[in-house]
Amino acid sequence: MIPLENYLVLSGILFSLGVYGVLSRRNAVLVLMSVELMLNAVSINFIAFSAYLDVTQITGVIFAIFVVAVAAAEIGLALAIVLRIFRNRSSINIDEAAELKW
Amino acid sequence: MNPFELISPQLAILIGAGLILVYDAIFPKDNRYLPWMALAAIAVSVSFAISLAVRGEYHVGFEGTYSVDKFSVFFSVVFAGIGAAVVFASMNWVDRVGRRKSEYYALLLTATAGLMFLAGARDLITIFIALELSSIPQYILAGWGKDERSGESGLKYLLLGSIASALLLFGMALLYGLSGSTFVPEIATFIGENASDNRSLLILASTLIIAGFGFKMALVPFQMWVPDVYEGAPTPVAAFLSVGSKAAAFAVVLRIFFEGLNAEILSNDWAMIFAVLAAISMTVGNIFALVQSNIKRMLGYSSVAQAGNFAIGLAAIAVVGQEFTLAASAVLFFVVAYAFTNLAVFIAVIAISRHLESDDINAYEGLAKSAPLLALALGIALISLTGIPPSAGFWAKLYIFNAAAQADLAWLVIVAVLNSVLAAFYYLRIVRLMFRNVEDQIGSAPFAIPKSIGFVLGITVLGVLVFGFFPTPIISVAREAAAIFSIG
Amino acid sequence: MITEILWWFFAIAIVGTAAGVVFSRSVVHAAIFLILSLAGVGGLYIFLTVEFVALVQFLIYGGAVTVLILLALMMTRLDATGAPDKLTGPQAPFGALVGITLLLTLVGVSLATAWPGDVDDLPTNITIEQIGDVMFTSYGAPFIIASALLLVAFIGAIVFAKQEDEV
Repeated sequence: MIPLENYLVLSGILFSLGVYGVLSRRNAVLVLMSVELMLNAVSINFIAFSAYLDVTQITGVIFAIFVVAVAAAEIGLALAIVLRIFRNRSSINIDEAAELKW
Repeated sequence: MNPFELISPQLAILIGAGLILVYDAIFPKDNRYLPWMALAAIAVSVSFAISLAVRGEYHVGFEGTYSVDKFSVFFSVVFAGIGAAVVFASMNWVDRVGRRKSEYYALLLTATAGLMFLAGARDLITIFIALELSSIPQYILAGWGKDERSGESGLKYLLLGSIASALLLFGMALLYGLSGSTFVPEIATFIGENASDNRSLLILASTLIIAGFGFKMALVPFQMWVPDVYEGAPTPVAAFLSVGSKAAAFAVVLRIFFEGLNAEILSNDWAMIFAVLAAISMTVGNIFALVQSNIKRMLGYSSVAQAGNFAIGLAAIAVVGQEFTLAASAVLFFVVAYAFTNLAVFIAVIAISRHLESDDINAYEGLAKSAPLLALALGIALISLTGIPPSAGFWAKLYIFNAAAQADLAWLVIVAVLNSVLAAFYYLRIVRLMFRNVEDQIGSAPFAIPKSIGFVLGITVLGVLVFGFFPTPIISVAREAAAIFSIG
Repeated sequence: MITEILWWFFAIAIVGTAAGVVFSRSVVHAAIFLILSLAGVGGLYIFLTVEFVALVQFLIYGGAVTVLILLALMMTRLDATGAPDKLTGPQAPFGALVGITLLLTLVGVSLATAWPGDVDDLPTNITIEQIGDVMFTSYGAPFIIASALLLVAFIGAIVFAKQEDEV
């Protein structure tokens, strides 16, 4: 029997790795991949909670399915924008993102 | 009651969006009627929402996950109004861009429907998915312009938005794991009984949730997307972002925190978080706004500062605890006043930059001579943003400061007043520039303001003035709408 | 016992490949690590008795999303242009600081909290029927919203991906 804490620690590690990736990567596609790691950490959390805490209801599972749907929609859209920007400029490094400054 | 009747306002808008797409597919050459179809859909939706309210049909549907109450009807009508104003403001711009008109209006409508869903959502799943329904069209619209900048601002908004969603979701997951439910009232029951045992987890979860919504509200330190997206996005879209998605985020925060997480032991923690965020947002927003030379970037930072004003209201609510109707109604009144004022500013900027073909603040010099009405409208709106009477913005600020003072947040009121003085510098600088007498300038050719823009600018400025002189009716409506929180 | 060993195998694989995604010096390698990591998470769901979500995970993440990412990488010819050391920006130490702080907080708080329903037995398999039941009753509203959302994202992707001159 795997204790619930194992899942929580695993998802915490995955989430933190994702946050590190988001903050330190320069490339838009790599940032997106890091966001996917974060979202997967969230899904692990939801499903683990659902299995361990919520025996009669399965709300967490439903939530995880919605998270997957939204993540897929977001990544499809993001890659379409990346393609368009690349066509205009041949680079997808976000901090080279031309004139937009802080 | 049929649950679909409860979401009929949103469904009307979504169906309208679908009809626009189908109409355009069948009659691709004939796209004059598209904006009017969008407006008709919004009108139908408002009539549904009002008819629900008039019949007193306050119900929860979908097993409690969606509720129609005075609060949600209030916000639905506000969002529909914002959507309609932005449709008017976009007409001319969309015609000039001249491509993909139907998709533009369909996306604008879907974003509006998403905001309206947010107003009534009472379940974390519904809240999350409605937030995404309102955000994704906005990401697309932010990248709608032809130039490179617009695409970049769309990508930036999308990346930061999805990071914010991930943070929000992690907070929601912790909340769900602790309480075993995603249903806000059930979370409230659980927290009411067990808050003291799990304080550290609850603070962590709520920090993550605040971070997630902080992006949407543009609170510092989650504001880094604001100036770039406001500058890069088409101006009508920036208007929508600055008013719609910000107001929606505050509506949801009211729901989650003051319906769900309002245990006495915790509310002081929220109050502290919101008060500190408010103070930082106002200060940072105003200081950066002072040094901007591009009007859209300046408005971006100004909207960060305004988000700080909203957050004062949230802090005040949290301190007062159960007796917070005053502060909650202050936030709702602020939403309405801010919506009218900021829409007026953005619409005036649309009209002006259309003529000047520049977003440079210095180009506004002597505008009063070539376009007196436009300069007057922008002047009134900026005065309202500063908070000088008689304008809606004055009452909104007074109301919020009053709520904060009653909640013993005197230090925050002082910071806010000092910030208002700071803000007056850059708002009134534009007014002074416009009314400066210049002999000879390029923009002196007669101004042609498109009818649609003139109409909606007139309405919003009128709103600013009417609520400035007669704030009482809207205050009583805001009180009614905020009353739902005092029961829970 | 076998379950425990397998679980640890999956857990280590997920963390290792996830680290590969954020530390790898090649975009294509990162994408391949991502596929493995996401597939590992799908495997984890089987331990949690939700085969349906595991299936969704394999299909959508393992199939659609990663193929999409690889396709985007191919079309932007990233690997050929970018020198590997340019993938991580100068702000990486800050990112590491935030990541480590967040990790310690999350793990610390998770372990310190007494989770209410820490059961000894996992429920029996959650069937698709159960999921559908809840999805179409309590969560009817989010389901409708999700359908609109997917349509919108679809429209948006077309708008962006289409060449400007074709309109």
